[in-house]
Order: sequence, then C-alpha cells, then structure tokens
Amino acid sequence: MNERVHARHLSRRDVIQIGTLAAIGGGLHPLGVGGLDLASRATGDDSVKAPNGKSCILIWLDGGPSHLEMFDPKPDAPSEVRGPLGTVATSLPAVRFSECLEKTATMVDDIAVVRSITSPLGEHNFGTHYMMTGYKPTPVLEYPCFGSVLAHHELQRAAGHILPPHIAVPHFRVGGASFSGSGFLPNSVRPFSVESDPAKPGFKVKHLQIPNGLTGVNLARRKKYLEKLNQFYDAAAATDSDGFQEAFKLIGSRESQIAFQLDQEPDNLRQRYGRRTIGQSCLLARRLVQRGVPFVTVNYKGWDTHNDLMTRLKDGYVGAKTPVGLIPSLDLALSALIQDLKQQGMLDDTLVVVMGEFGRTPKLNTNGGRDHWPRVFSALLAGGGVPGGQIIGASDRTGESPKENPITPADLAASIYHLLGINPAAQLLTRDGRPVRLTPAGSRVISELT
Amino acid sequence: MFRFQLCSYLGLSLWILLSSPRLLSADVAVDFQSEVIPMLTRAGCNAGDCHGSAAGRGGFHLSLLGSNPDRDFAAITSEFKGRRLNLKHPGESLILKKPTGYVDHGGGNVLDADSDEAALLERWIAEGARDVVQRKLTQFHVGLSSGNSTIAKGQGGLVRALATFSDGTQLDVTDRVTWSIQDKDALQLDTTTGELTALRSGQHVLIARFMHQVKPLMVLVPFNRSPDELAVDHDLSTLHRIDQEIVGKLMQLNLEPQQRASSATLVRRVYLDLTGQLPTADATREYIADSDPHKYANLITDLLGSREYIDYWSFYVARMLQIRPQAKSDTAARAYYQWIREQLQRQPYNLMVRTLLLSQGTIEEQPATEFYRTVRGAREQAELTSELFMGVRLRCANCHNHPLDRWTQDDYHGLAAVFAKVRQGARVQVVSRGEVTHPATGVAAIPKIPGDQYISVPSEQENLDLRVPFANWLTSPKNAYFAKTAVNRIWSYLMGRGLVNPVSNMSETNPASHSGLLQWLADDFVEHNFDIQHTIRQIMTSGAYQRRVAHNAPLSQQVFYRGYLARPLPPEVLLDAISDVTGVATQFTGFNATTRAIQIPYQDIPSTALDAVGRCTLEQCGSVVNAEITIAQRLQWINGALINDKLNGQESFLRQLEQQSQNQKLSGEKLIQDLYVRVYSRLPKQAELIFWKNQLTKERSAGKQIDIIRDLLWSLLASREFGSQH
Repeated sequence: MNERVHARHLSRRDVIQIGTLAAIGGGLHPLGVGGLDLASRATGDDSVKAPNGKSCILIWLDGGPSHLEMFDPKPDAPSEVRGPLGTVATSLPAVRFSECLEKTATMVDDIAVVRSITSPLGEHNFGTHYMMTGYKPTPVLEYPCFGSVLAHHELQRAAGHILPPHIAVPHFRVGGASFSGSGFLPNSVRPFSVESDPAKPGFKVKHLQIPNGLTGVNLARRKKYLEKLNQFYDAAAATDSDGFQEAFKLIGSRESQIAFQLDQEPDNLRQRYGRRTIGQSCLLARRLVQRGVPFVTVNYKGWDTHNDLMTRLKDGYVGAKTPVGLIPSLDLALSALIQDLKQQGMLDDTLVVVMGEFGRTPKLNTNGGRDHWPRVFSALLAGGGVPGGQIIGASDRTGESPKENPITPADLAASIYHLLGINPAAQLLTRDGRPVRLTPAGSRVISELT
Repeated sequence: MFRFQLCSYLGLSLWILLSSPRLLSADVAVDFQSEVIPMLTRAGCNAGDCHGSAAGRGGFHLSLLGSNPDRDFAAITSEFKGRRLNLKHPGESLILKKPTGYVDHGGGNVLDADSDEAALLERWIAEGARDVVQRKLTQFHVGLSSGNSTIAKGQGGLVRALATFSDGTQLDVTDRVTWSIQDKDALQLDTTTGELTALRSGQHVLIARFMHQVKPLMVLVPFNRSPDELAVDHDLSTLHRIDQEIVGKLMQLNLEPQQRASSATLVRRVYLDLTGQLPTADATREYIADSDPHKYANLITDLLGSREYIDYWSFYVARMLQIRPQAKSDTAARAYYQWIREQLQRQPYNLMVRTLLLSQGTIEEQPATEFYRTVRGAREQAELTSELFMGVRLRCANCHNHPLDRWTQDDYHGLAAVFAKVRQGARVQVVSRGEVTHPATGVAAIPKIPGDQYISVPSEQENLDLRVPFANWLTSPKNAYFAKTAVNRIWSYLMGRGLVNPVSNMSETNPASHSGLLQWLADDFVEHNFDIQHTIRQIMTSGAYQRRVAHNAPLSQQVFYRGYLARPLPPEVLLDAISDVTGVATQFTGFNATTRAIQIPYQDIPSTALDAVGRCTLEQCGSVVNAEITIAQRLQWINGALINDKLNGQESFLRQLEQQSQNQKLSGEKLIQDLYVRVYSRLPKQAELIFWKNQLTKERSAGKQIDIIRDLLWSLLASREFGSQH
C-alpha cells in the first residue's frame, strides 16, 4: 500500500469522515488547531514559538557515560586514570573537555556542566530510576520520570494536545528496560515511542494512515464501541487509557502526519546534525518540541563501556579514519541542536539535559574499559534559562569523589523541575490516594542553575 | 495456630524473661562484634556509599554493613600502624574525632560527641580496643512486644529484637539493630525506644539487621470498616489449606474476600491457565449449562491430561529457560524444546532439573545441554542457575558481599567455579582445567555451594564433575530454595503475582506475603515427588483461585488476594486467541501453518504479529512473559494488517457469517450472544444485549450490518476484557 498516494488522493468525502472521527473524539482538530496556538502551523510555517511553559529535550546516555572521557577529563592524572583520549581547551580558563567534544567545547557559553553529581546506586535499573525521577527505587512505588510529570502537568493545563506530550526517540527502553516512565501516573503520560530509527531513509511512525478498506466511519465506530465495551467491563478502570485513546487521536490529526516527517527538514540541516541515529533523533526532537511537544527523550544507547573504550567511545569501529564513535557523534548532534535552537529562537524555552545513570571507574580495568562508578559523575544542561558558561561543582584529582558542591540526583531533579516551571515540592496523588512529593524532601534547587 | 504466631509467642516469652535493660556497667567489657560493629552499621559508616563501598572511602575500607568483622577489626586497629586509635588518650582517637566533627570528615558529623554511641566507642578503646568475646550469633528474632503482628492504624507498638549467642547468652539488642522501613509513609519508627507507629493500612515490612543476620518483620495494619459492616468472620478450619492462611490474613486486615466467580468466568480462566487457549463456544456453553457439582474439579482433571496443557506449560518452561536459537540455525532450540515437552510429560521437576544441570555431550546426544549454551561464561551460568532454580539474584555479590541478603563473594565466585570446569560449546564437557578468579583474593575461587560448604576436590580426582554435589544439594528435598522457587513460580502464573515478588528475588529483605503458605506449598510439592500437576491442582481448587476479580480494589491490597488478580494475557496467548476467534491463523516463518504462537520454542522469532501484541525480545526485556502494549502497537491494531487481515480474510469467521446471511438481516439477539460466547466465553448481560441490538438496528442492509459486526468484533478483540486473564 502506497501511503503517499493515498494521502494525495484524499477525497473531500474522506476529509469529512476524518472530521467525523474528530467530532466523536471530542476536541480533535484535524487541520491543526486545538488548544495550542498552532494556526500558523496549518500553513506549514515552521518558525513557530514553543507553547506556553518550557519544553525539554533529555538526551539520555544509556549505560553510564564515562565522565573522564567526556566533560570531566583528568589530563594530569596517571595514565591508568587519564585514559586513552586527549583533551581540548574551552573558552573557560582551565576548563578542558575530552578531545572528542571539540564542537561542544566551542559552545561552552551556552552550557552548564555539573561535575559533582553523586549517587550510591551503581546498577543500571536503580541508577536510571534515580536519575530519571529524583527518587531511589523502592519496592513500594514506581515513580514517574520528568517527562511524564511534565506531560501530566501539561495535560492538566491544556487538554487539546494532539501529539503525545512525552515522546521517546527511538524508544524508551532505558536502564534494564523495566522502567515504564509514567510510574504511578496514568497511562496517558507514558512515553510514546516512535519505534523507528530517524536516521534510516524510510523513517516514519508506522500506521498513522487509515488503510484501504477502512474509512473514518469505521474508525469512529470502533473507537466508540471499544470505549463502551471497556466501560461495561470495568467503568472505573476505563478512564485509564491503554494506548488506544492516544492512538486514535494521532490518526485523526493532520498534525501528527506532519510532525514526524523528518524529510521536510532541509538536507543541509540534517547533515549538520550528523546522519547517525543520535543526530537525526536530536533533530526530530527539535522538530517535535517546535510543534508543541513538551518533552522528548532521546534514548542514546551503548554507553556501558566495560571494554574497548577507544573503539566504542571514539572510533566507532576498528580502523575508522574519522571518529564516529559514541562521543564524536554526540558532539556533532548536541552542538548542532544547541545552535539550531538558538537560531530558531527556541533556546530560552527549551531545556536540554544530557546525562546517564552513573559515571565510570577512574581506574581502567583489565579489558581496557571502565566499570560502573556512581560516586561522582557529570551532567550537562543548556537552554531553558540555564545560565551558560559555567562549571558547577568539581570532582577530585582522579575523578573519584565529589570535591566541591556534591549534588544528588534528587537535587538535580528539583532543579530540572524548577527550570521547567514546576514546583519541586508539589504533591502528586497515586491511584491509591497516597500523596507523593515530586522530589524527595530535603532535595534542593541548585542555585547556579537558576 | 500458624507457625508465625507460634514464633511470636515464643519471642514474647523470651523477651519477658530478658526484659531488664541492657547493663551499661563497667563490669561488662564492650564487645567489638556485637556492640561496636552494629553501632557503626547503625551510624551508616559501613554503608555502600561510604566506607563500606567496594573501594572504601578516604583510604578507610570497612566490610559492607559489617559482613566481615575480622577484617574490620584489622582495619580499625592495625592499619597505618594503628593511627586510627589512641589507646593512651582514647578521646583523641581519630576514629572518634572524625565522625564527631573535631577533625575534617568527608562524611560529616555522623555522631554527637556526647552521644551513647561515641561513649561506647571511647569505652571500647579505653578497654584496649580488643575483640575477645568471639562468640557467634546463633539466633536473631524480631517481633512486636505484644506478641502478635497487628497494630491498629494510628496506634503504636513496640518492636523488640532478641539475639542468642553460641555461648548461651541472650540479649535484647533492639537499640543495636539497624532498622529500615520499606514504606516510610506507612510506618514510623523511633529507633531509640523501638516505638512503632502505623500510618497506613496494609502489610508493611520492617527490616532488622544485626551482625551478619537480616530479618524481616511483617506488620499488619487493618483496614477501616464502616461501623455497620459486620466483622469479617470465617471458620478457617473448614477451608482449603491455602485459604486458611489467605482468609486468615484477610480477617486480620478486616477485608472481606470476593465471592466465587461465575461458571463462565471460571471456565475461561481455567482453560487459559492450563492450556493457554480460550474454550470453544461449545465447551463454554456446555460447562455453563452443566449442573454436576464436580464439574469444576473434572474440568481441571480433563485439561491436565490434555496435549494442550503440555503445550502451554512447555511454553512457560521454555521462556523461563530463555531458549534462544543459535546464530545459524534453530535446530538446537527445537530439540531443547522437544526435550522439555517430554520431561513435562514424564518426569518430576527435580529430576528434570538434575538432568539439565548434569547434562553433557552434543545437542544430538543430549538436548538438555542447550542449557549450557544459553549464556556464555561461568559467572553468567552461575547467575542464570541461581536465578532460575534458587530464585535468588546472586549478581550483586560479584563485587562485594550482597548488601540485601546473605550471599557473599565466596558464594558467587564459588558457584561460578563450579561451572568454570564445564566447557560450553558444541560439545558440553567437564574438563579438568577451568577456574574463575576471586576478585578479593586474586587467586582461583574455591568451588562452593552457595550459603553452604565449600566443595572439596581430592587431588587425584581432577575430573570430578563439581555440578554433581551442587545438583544433589539443590534438588534435595531439604533444600530451602528449590521447591519454594518452583511453587512460587507456579503460584505466580496462576494467581497473577508470586508470594515472593518478583519471583527471581527471594531474599531476607524481600519476604513472602504469606510465608507460612509458601513453606506449606513447598513442603507439599516435595511430599508429592515434585509433581507440578499436583501443585497446580492444589492451587486451582482453592477458594483464592476461584474468586471474582475485585475491580476497584486499591493496588496496595493486591498482595492479599482478596479477589482474583486480573492481568494482561501473555502476548503469545493473546495472538493465538485472536487467531482462534477470527478463524484466521497466524503464519510464523519456519514453522508449519498449524503452529500456534505458544508452540514456538523460543521468544525471539521475527514476527510483526507478535510485536503488535506486545512481545518483547530477550535482549530488550529479558524473559518477561507479560509485556505492555505501547501506543505504536495500538496504531498497528487500528491501521495495521494484524487484526484487519484477520477480520477480512477469506477464511475468516466474518466471511462465514456474511455468506450465511446473504441478503437476510441477521437476528440481532442470537448473533450478539454467539459473538459474546465465542469471544468473551460468556453470555451478554441484559444491558449489553440491549445496547448492541440497538447498534445493529441502525442499519438495514445485510452488507452494512456486516460492517457494524466487523467493527464490533474489532472492538471486542481490542477490549480489556478480551486481552486479560480475569
């Protein structure tokens, strides 16, 4: 089935039928207007401001990125700590980054790097939960991540969202993939995974188009019947979505067709971000945020480098002439993203966070890699009102422990919420009616980030 | 009287005997192991993020949570020529001045200078900083001083910890214990007085750690009932053994169990749990209409004897064992799967596991050897084996003694040493060379049975298969883990949640919700020769299994089995059910047309159909039987080929209906009833019948009516009721 042809031959009758679907869905506006100032988007004008309130792009470095090979190198330490990579200068005096972060190093005025994050949790699932929610994992409750909290907040504020308010590119399998993201919040704020690689030529979110043989009438009826059946079965639970509500919304809207069409972005821009998954994912994130999505998680996997540092972090593959490993690819994507956001006038309203679940051992192991090290590690923040050009906190001489200004993941969470315009002391309610503070009591907003 | 009540009673008596306060007189010297180390644990000094971390802190390395007191004694008294202590002026000791803030301390001001803890440490130093008593902790008991395990909400109770030592001493160690509460919103504890306040209803866990032992204390806080509701009262003696404990606990909590589910609900539930298939429309109608009082038990017997039961439970075992195809071919995986089917038909569980563990040879000679090709490496094999058959996660004990349980590095690397002599590969073989390096000693780890003794290998028996003593220990009727793990898993499949949850995490800090019940089930399993069918039947004939689902029950009450726990169907079962209902089978590459999804030997077969119903591959999600369905998958359901092809297919059920109804209007009532019986395995309620009849009459022509029915069928398949086991 050629979906493009189908779209072009959309008859007036079909348009009405899609409109019918929208009417039954209540509040859907297939031509792009609904709850958000999107009027200009219907004409395809891309230079639209972000919606009220800040948005966020989280670049999640899954596996535990080595702080020593990235934002907190120790060029003067012994070689088994220093590692195989060199360093580059930044415009900040005495501040150097890894040699693979050349481009980001030139943009240091726009970024803040926290070098003193400290956590006791060195296991992937635990560390991921802690960093993504601000709470250590407990058997009692699964907490929601920032994206789902912001999504929840946005849904309360303005119900007309068409695109899912928390989107994950290419998917949300983080940590050990047992983290739902929404925790105890309703399913409506689970991250929507595009489940497709934006770097691949055929990238699209599949099944957004109604296939031959079905019409809008069918879809509208199915949606209605489904809701009725679920109500008959268990009326109270029926209010909690199992994905169909969001799916019907996406299908019914023209907005969703456009938002994921990455090939509408100019080719030279796609080149600037880099053609690898991370680059195109960051570009897609910018596009989605521009179209009103409050939170995008870019899931960049592969950072659990227990071995082969050089190959995995720098080269990309054995014998590479141009480094295409994890860090140079990130460098390209991140610098392009920040620059792009700046040029589009979006940087002040878009918070960019780059982090992983922990750092890596200061001493190289016997496989030429590094193992888990949560005691001190780094994170990067940019945009969204973060004052750039600063390094916050410091680790000690060998990158083992925090030396100045130790910051817990709970503190970082409080700061992120604060930057997004959400009170970190606010209370959410679980389904059992238990009040839960957004961040743990005692967590503080890092003043340098405000 | 249940065992746990008996224990509490005993504990209470002991406590009354010893209820004089601990003597702080100068006659009794401070004991290093039972006083100083516990104090350091309480203060957090030897926690994982401080001196107890794998690399220590600031050059001072203590064993994690006091697991190695001898090493700690050496570190405190002899390291750096003893500069941490000042025996002449004890108050000047570095080990005192740092935590009290007199000297810069990375950990801050951990102890108050005038606290009992600081005084204890100083006295110990003044007495010569010795470790003389050298007695072992033989018993450690925690309980409420009231003797039972219930506290009313908003009320308080007193916790007490009792220690018995090898020299016969018994002490109240309440204020030496390190307490931790899982749910701080539910319980509050004053660690000095032992005063415990209950804030939320439910069952809450308090963990007590003293010396090397960790014990959980379960506290029940009853739920409120409105004053005019009758107190929950059941005569436990008349109930099935399983229900005695479950209903007993519900009574203590003031929760009324749900009523028994209807025949329609039960026939569907039993068919799905035993065969992974919906009952046919005929079977459903027949069961509902049958008035034989033994029909339920007979149904279970019939299904347990069926081929479909073997199909489905082989599926469970295959997923548990993480069968995966080799890179080039899946012949080995298929042979392994066939072997599992045969075992399930003929062998008791303990013999099946023994054969698995002791297998050697090629896949042709012994298909069970595939167990040794599932993961690579001795450590990985140790982790897999302990997780599957002991229900424990040894992994954390790789780099340090396990912080939450009793496992030590010796256990972890000792078990890995057992598997180090097994050559994995095309021919699984026991070889004489093969070892793992123990990270703490730097030399080969000594083979060890976890939590038990080292395995001694006489030097003339280099080729001894170390797996033999391990397998003997594991599958012995007395083994504390094997039977419990097996029955817990079976329970979780049937009841929706393990008594220990998650099933791979049996540990002292993760106690069973009904520990007496778990023990009984395990003992019963062993007594009946590890017969899986026997345990299945025990569970299914209990009242707990046959209850209605408690819709709207708070999540926190799930653990008490007040009602049957509804949960999503496994993806393979859902896909098969969709195929059955629509009459259009799903094709799987490499398998013949009649192969059902649950008959596929391994999880990771490429299949968009399975992806659409929420199947997650081993690499993505591990061997999780239930995976949640995402929005992307829902888009597939709505617009994709999976469901739509089955609704439109030439051989589909709907086509048949269409042909039957050529130009005649379909009789609304019968049609809807047939649909419900076929899809939901029940008859529609009155309100449902009226609603759907109404929908049908909106269209007059048969063609349009079929369109409506197609949409209705789609919705039925997409509905929660269809997609869950309930």
